[in-house]
Amino acid sequence: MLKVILRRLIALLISLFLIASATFFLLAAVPGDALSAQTDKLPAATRKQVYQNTGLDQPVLKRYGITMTNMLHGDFGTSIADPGMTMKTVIEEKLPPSARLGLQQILFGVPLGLLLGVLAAVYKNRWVDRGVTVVSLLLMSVPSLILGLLLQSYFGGKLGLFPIIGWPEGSDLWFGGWAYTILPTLAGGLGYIASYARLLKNSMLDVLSSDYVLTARTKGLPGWRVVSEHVIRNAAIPIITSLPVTVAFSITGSVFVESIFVIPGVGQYFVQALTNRDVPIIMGETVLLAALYIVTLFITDLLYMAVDPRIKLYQS
Amino acid sequence: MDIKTKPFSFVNHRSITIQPELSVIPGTTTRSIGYWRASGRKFLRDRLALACAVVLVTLVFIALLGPLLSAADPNQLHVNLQNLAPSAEHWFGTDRLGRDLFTRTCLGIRVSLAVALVATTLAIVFGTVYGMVMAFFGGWLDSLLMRVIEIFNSLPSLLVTMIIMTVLGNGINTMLFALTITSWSGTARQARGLVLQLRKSDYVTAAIMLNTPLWKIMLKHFVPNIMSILILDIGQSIPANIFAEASLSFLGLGIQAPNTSLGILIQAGQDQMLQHPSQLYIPVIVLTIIVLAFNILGDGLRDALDPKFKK
Amino acid sequence: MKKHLLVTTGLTALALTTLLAGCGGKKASATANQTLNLVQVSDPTTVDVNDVRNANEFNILNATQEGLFRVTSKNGHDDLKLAQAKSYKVSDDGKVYTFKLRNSKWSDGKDVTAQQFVDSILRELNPKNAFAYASMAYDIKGAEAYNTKKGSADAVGAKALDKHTLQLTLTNKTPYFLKKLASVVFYPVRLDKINKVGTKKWKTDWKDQVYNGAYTMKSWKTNGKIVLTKNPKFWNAKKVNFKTVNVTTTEKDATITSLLQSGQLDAVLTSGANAADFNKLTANKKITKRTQAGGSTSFVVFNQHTGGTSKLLKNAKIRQALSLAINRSAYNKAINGGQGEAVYSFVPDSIDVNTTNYHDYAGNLLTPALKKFNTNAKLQQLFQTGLKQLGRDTNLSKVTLTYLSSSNDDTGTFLKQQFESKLGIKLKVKTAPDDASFIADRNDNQYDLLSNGWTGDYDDPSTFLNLWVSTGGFQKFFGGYDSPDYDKLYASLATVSNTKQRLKIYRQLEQRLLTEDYGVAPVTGEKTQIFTNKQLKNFQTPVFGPNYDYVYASKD
Repeated sequence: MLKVILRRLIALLISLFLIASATFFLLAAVPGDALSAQTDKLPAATRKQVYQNTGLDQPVLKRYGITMTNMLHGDFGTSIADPGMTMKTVIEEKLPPSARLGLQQILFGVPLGLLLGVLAAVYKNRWVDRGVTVVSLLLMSVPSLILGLLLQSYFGGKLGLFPIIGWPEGSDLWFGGWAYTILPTLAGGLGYIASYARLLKNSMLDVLSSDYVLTARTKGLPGWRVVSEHVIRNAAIPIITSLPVTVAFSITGSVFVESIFVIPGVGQYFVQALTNRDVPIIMGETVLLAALYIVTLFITDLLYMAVDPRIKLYQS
Repeated sequence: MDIKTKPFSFVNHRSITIQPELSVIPGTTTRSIGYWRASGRKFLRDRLALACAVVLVTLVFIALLGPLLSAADPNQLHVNLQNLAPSAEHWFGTDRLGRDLFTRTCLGIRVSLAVALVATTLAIVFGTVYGMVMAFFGGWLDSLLMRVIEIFNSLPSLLVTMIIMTVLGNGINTMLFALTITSWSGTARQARGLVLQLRKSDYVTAAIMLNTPLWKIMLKHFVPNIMSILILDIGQSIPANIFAEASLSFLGLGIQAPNTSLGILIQAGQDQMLQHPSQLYIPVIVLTIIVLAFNILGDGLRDALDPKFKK
Repeated sequence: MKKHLLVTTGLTALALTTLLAGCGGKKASATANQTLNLVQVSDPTTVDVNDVRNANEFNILNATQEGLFRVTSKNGHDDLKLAQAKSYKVSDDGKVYTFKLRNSKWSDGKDVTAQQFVDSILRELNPKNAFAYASMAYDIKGAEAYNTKKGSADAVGAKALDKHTLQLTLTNKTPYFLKKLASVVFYPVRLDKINKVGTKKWKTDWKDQVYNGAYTMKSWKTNGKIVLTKNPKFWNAKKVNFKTVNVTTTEKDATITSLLQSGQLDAVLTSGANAADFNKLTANKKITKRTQAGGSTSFVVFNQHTGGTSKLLKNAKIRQALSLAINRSAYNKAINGGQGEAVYSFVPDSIDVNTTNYHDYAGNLLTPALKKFNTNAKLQQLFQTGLKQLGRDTNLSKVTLTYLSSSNDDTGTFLKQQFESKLGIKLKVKTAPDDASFIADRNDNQYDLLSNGWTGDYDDPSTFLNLWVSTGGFQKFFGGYDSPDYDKLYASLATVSNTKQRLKIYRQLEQRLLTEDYGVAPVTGEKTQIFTNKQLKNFQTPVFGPNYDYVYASKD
């Protein structure tokens, strides 16, 4: 086990190194940089000075060396477009709103989705099942962007029930200012209802048609006992194993919901960094996100092992 | 259960796709003609899925033939016909520049569907070949290629897409390339897994012994066996790619004016939402119908292809 | 001010949103009257007064800091009011300005001194800092030399005679100098604070800022909002009515409309196509709408550096045919949703020289030519004349021009239709994915035509006409117009201070640029539409400098 973790850790570092290098050189290949829009129309001497002040005038390879060395020390550098912003401040300031939004969406969407999924599977081919199927398919087919816009203009604008934009801050950052969070939570959370309802329903149907459930049934076990003792446990496997990825996704921000409701989160900031060609921030976010996803995938694998002992890590 | 990583996608819940538990059980690898025929029959009995297929075909026909029915030129500006409501003359009304929205929506459907279909095909073909090569050769090549997949899986797809679009410039081809690059890895993993199992089968060993060229083994033995998985992949990728195209267009990346797509129409309609709501709702409804139809179709296919889903 | 560095976008919005929940009933309405919540399209890129470049930075800094003067506005015409200056004197030759400062304090209790104004000018000009607006100070003696590393800081004509007396010496008599001096870039600075954190960090380091204006910054979350609170140390704090000002960042017109309609928003300033998105608001009885002349012009740029990708644009006849082929009122309808105005000259009609309105004096310079070449055949002939002069094939259908567009821009679509239907040539629209790529393509001369806009920095025609001086540094971004005659004529302004004579020279310059050389094709002018909550009073909307000034505004 320890060996597996160690091997994965080394692989992680190699992957991150490759990702960081690839990102750096791709960004270097893009025409224009963080300063080109800013220094456009400045006298040549002034522009040169600006580049000198930020170190962007150095040759690509030298910048690569500096960037990578600093990164080894955990320093991604300071934002060029937004001086004073570092990855540390991004995490401190931008992550909490995104994380809270994501967690609220999951806490709202996943349990509801699971409930609907169980109902749909238990009452298969009856109106409950059809209702759940139709609703979840519909929710899956409407972009969250549109959901957000509709919720905002109807519940926020027309009915005036909730604030149209904004996000709690200060002492309300994590717990409080709930009115602000309801519409954004719905905009993203409805999608989780749909996907988790479908996920659980399908996995339950899988289990329900399996031999051991058939055996249990033929043994004369009552329906609810079959469900509670055999089905739920086994059908939960895909749920438990997809949750980490869902969480990793959700807390790292959603560009569209954030921009509709003016939530100062990571998602928006990342797109902004990209359009600004703000290399230090893009590199930092990319590497951290990649690390988060890789670790999450590893956790998923571990969970697989834990819930289903038949699975071995890496069938080499 | 394989989970596609598509961070920052248009709708974040699309990130979880339901992968059927289809696996190749050694010994029963070759699926007989009977399997396909039975699946086909099962699919035809699924009235909802069939209805969706009809809806999609109709939409494609409208998108292709619609502009012929209407006299309006989708790209012609009319400064005196701006923002008209739907009418007998302009079935979907006109946009901010006075262009006919019915014909533009038809163009948009064509572009969005074409992008989704081509990107899906490219991703599936590339992913399958990649996965088959990995599994077939194994060893260091396999681990190397696996690492590449891991990297692609862990990179935010929006970053990759945006960088590609800026390096190569806007346009349909770049967009296709970008969408393919960010979506092939799931298929590759699946193909790898299935081929790993197939490789040990007697007839593949026999084929190798007989010095059959690799492409022949792939085409004759591997592809038919993983066909059902691929069909399901296609069913799930198409709606995902429609969303991805829309989200890129929404961010101002992708197709260039005066060309249009559903994403561009939605983006343009968004600001007009309160004054001329039809400009937003029409493309949204069309997009939703298409994605919904593909989703239901995908469900139908899964039910038909997966022996476990007996009705 | 380059509000619109690349294209005219044009939306500045103010909004009033409810305060964070927590207070109810009477207390809420009392705070509501003392709270102003604004909306901005994007975050300021800086809070360093010397480093400003965009409108939204002017708006924030105009509220938190204060210079010698404050710009007030009535019916779209700007005026100057004394602010940190108590009085001023101009020498007889018009070159020496002496300002007496009032007793005023920074938010940390320190005095505002004349030396801090001098520090600001020298810091602005310091070539090491590379500030974008350094050239605003070039009227001051020795300023240009210092900024271009040809002179020293000591030689700059800015001196503090005592704690409250500031003296500025100019190279030439400059009639509009005070209008420039009102700009944010000349606001005083606190070197003791700046040197502690360094100029680079100071740019966005709002936590360490000190303020001599009406408000202080309480918090700033990018992509979120900026919160300002009243500065009790401000010299005129008694007259400041709002206790809190919130500025939220959003660019979605639908959102802003919802905010305004639901009464959570007081005012929005908008222009261009976006203005049409707010038309629905005029039906709302709680909202008033007024329109005023704006300070910017949109124009089509002709690539005269290389003649463009087609190599045709160095020819004046071809430029003329292109300029005259654009139907400007159709352009205004299509691109601006009819919310701007078609223009036939370059300097906007909001600009005055002394008390004379420049546009009233100069008239629509392009109109005679438009009347003369009023059919497609005549325009095509003009284009063919140009082709002949260049020794090119006169078959118009074989001509293809490249129009470089930045993303989400309908101008390419419109111009394509205009040129193709009127001139019979082809226009290829090339869309750059973002600003940086647009700039890269432009600097690489990968275009024949592109659209651009310019917003004046101060109320004088020179802020529009000095763009086209070949040594001015800006013409190269606008196609590289290069005319020795124009340069000579512009240089002659240095010694002319008589209003009548200046008007005449300005008109000659504009005529040469627009109707003789066809160096640029102005198409539309901006009209600012201001939607405000009826309760909002004394809400100033200057044409130049900040978009709005709410320091002395109130709500009843």
